[in-house]
Amino acid sequence: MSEDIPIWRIKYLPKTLDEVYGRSDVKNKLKEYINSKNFPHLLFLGPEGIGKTTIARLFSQEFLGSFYEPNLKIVYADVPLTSEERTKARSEAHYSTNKIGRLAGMTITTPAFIQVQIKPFVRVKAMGDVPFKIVIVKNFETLSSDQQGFRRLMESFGSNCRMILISHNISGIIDPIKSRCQLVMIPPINVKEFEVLIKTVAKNEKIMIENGTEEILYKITKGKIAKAIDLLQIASINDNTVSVEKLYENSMVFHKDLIRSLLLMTLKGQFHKARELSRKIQSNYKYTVQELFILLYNELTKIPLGTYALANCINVIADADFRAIDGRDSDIQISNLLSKLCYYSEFL
Amino acid sequence: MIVRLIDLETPWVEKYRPTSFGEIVSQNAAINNLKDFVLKEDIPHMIFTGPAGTGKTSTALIIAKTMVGKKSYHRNVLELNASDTVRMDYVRTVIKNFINHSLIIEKNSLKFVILDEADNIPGQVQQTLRRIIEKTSNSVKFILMCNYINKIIDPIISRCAVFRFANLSREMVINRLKFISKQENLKIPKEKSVEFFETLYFISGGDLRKAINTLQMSVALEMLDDLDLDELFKISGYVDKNTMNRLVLNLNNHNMGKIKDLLGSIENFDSRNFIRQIVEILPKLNINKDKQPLINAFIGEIDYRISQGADERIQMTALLSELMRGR
Amino acid sequence: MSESSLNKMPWVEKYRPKSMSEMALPSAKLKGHKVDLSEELKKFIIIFFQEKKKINDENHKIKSFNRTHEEKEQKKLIKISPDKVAVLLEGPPGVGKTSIVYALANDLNLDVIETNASDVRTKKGLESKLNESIKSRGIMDFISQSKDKILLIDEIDGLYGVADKGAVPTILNIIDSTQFPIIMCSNEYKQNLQPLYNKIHKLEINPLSQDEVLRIAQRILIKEKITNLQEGMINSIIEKNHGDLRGVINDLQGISQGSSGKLDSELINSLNRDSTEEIFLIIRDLFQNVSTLKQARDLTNKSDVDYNFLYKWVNENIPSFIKLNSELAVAYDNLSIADEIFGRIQKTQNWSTLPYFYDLFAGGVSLSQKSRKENQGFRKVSFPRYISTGMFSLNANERLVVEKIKKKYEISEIEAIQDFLPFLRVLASVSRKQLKLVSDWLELDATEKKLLKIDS
Repeated sequence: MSEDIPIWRIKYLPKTLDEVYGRSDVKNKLKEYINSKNFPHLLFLGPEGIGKTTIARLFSQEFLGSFYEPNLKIVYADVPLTSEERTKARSEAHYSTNKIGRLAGMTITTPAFIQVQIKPFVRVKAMGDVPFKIVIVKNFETLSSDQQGFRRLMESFGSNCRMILISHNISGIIDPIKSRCQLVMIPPINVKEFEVLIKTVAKNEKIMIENGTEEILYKITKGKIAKAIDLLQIASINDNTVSVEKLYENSMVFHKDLIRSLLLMTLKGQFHKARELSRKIQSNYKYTVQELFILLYNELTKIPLGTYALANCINVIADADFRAIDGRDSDIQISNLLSKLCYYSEFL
Repeated sequence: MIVRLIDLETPWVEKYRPTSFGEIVSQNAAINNLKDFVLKEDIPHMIFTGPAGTGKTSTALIIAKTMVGKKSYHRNVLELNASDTVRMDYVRTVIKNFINHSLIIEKNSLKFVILDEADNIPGQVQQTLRRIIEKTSNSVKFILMCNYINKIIDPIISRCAVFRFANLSREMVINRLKFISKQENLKIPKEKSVEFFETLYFISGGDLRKAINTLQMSVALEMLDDLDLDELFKISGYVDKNTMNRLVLNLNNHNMGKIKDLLGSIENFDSRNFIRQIVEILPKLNINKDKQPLINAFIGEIDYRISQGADERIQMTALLSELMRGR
Repeated sequence: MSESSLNKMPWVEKYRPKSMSEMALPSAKLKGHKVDLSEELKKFIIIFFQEKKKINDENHKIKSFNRTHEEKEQKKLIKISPDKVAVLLEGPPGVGKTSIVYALANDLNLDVIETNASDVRTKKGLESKLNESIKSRGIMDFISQSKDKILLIDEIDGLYGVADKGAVPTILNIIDSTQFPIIMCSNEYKQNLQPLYNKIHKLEINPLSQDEVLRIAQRILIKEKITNLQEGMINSIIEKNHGDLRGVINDLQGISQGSSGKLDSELINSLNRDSTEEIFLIIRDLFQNVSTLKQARDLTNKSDVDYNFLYKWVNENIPSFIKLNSELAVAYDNLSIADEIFGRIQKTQNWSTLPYFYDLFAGGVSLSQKSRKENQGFRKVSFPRYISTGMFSLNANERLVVEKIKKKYEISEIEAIQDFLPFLRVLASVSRKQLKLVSDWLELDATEKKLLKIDS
């Protein structure tokens, strides 16, 4: 019995590899692997949010068949360990070989990541009638220089466990890893298949969509299916119709309104208010300093600034970004950027 | 279609590693004479320094193999790399065991400890290493490999002979690539063949390992049938010519908004590569001669910031905004 | 006000008493005699309006008389005596002066117009700021059936010009022309305001007792369902704030809403009674009395306070003391470099650069102020409210919700907090039904449901 799922993007999540929308080349290749009951380490590449992890998961589940539960593990390389995990890792501590960035020289996070999240799993032999286990690692490039450790893992435990590494930035992957994997480029769904998908959802949910709306939806979301379905759901919610205006209206909601407000406050010179808002954003969304700066940077072009004003603001953010690398207190570093923008606003 | 698993599991960098002195391809006379130097048995500890992909590891392995002989290779050669040598206790135990073990079993035969990526070894551990190097007898030789010799502590440098490896020349790289292509029976479309190898060389920047990896990657991605060099460029983290031209246009027109958008549209953004490409297009920009030195310095500053962990796109946009203003 | 926005309101606002009967009124003295604060103020307001009406009527008659008579026979207009127009509440910060005024206004069905005297730097500025509020009713008042008002002037002792006696005439002018009763608040006695004290009544408000503050704090904590704060911690906070109820409430809110519980207790526990007083003094001195680098160094040298926390205190309090954007930019430039140096010290364990750290966060920040004139007067020093570890970590409630999400949908914690949950909030905000659908499907309990509410 299927429960009625209130969230459309989950409701319309493909449940098998076949149900994946579009990407038939990729699907065919993966099916061949399933048929030959073997595949090398894989590296899935493609823009963010287009379905790489879902495809990897469905592929693995089909490959492993009924034995997939104990033999499949999905880990997120960008999520820091909890304090319990860190304490456990400390006993087998690795010093981070990162020479740069926040993690430099620290005795926690990523190498411990391999210790805690991956090693215990790959060491245990595969259970049931499967040739090997599978580990899916999402956002693999965030491991930066600790990818070396991973390489050794791939070599030593490769026969018992295959890796499916997922990344959106190939430049962030070190060569030794690339050369040990079969690269699989995963493109976003194309426009035609996207329109078919949207029409199906609309029909099921009994919504009327204006002509041409699907194309605009594709443009706004850049082919990211989950985001598109989210937007469709929100836009249609009050009266079961979706028009282009409604799409644009509602897409603003996702456009990080709070960030925009923060930027506007600083450009009006309201430091105190800006700091309070930035603290609120931080406690809700838990961005790192760099992530917050990137969001502010992205919002900049949406504000009508002259070309030199824009250039100056960017330079201010760049300086603050560099300074924040070694900074310990994110509130101070953020306040630094806010105060500079507030000061700069007096010249606008 | 048969899935060719075997070829792709073995990295070609490993498969085609030179195995004898004769195969070593290098710019440096000292290295070319290494063979004679080494056969004199009274060799010092050595440091091989230089950019990536220039033959340091291969040379070290060849030396070890020549001196020690294939049979007893595994007993007499210890290979460690950065992720192993990071922990002090590990270093102490493993190396000490190796040294002591060999002394008991086979006296007088030469042993090697090869340390790859030695510049990543933390300072404290290097101190420990230095004591070990001092104390070991004449029959154990250390070979350290690094990219930046200034990251190795002085006491260790003074105990070693330093060999500098340089970037390989265009010819050397392309010849090697052609050799490998032949061995692997690659079907490269004739008309594009020259441009293909040139592109591979450009992407590698003199790093043979990178060149070979890029070659292997293009095969893995099945790009050879219909060779799209622009695509190869993009996948290797470079920006295609079209985008670069648009960038130049907008820089000269002082359109910051467009510049930021262009930067955002680049997939697989790699700042180091991008900087190389920017340096190439500098002459096309209307930059005041007086400002040139400042611009160059700023490029260095941005490169440094990124190496320290600053966000690539933000810093690059800042660089471009300076370029835009340099009139 | 919707339940969702109540969640993110500052507690000081949320729990502000709406009527004087709700309040634990502090005790007060008028001319040395104990009085009932509630009675006194009510009396004052009522009498004002009665008098004003009487006088307005009288003046009306006088004006019409004057129109028909020569100048030497004209009568002067009657002025209401100042002590019926304005009253001064004097008492330590956070004791409830502003709350009393608002509660009083609520009880008497009046609006409050609040201005803060210490923000204004020139006499003209003060006048213009107040002019709108005190002059005769504007058009809007005729159009909208507005209520009568009380004019609240806060921090009158911070008024520019208090130092050089320009302030009193300004205030007296305002008292002369106002249509509404004025209640002024001040933190301490100021010599130069003596002429003012001679003309109006001054009610001295005593600080609340520790027990009273504790009772109020506990009540709030119960309402907010905060159970993990130990009594020892609450008492520390109360002690540090010296009877400042506002400070206590803010600190409690800051601590219970911070994202890293463990660090907060470290911060609190590291401060014992002596060092808190010290810190308050150091911070005030740093911003108000230091004018050379050497002085800054001496100040930080002689204190035992852990620099780990001292510079966070500086961060928290910069906006209290520095108002100009140009000075803020300089102050933060120095502070952020100090933070950067500190980070590098931690990484490299090279402590030789520590003196630069000190110089930058103390002297560097303090000396970014070009002129001290505006800065005198009482400024509140706050506990570092925002504890930032810079690492992604979930509090207990968030963790529970994310676990429940993960049961139904494969997603990482970061995506859940930064993308999915915000989407759910938008979805749930559309209607009660949507909220119910989503929270039922995720099987959330009441506390977890709160995370689905949109913050105001």
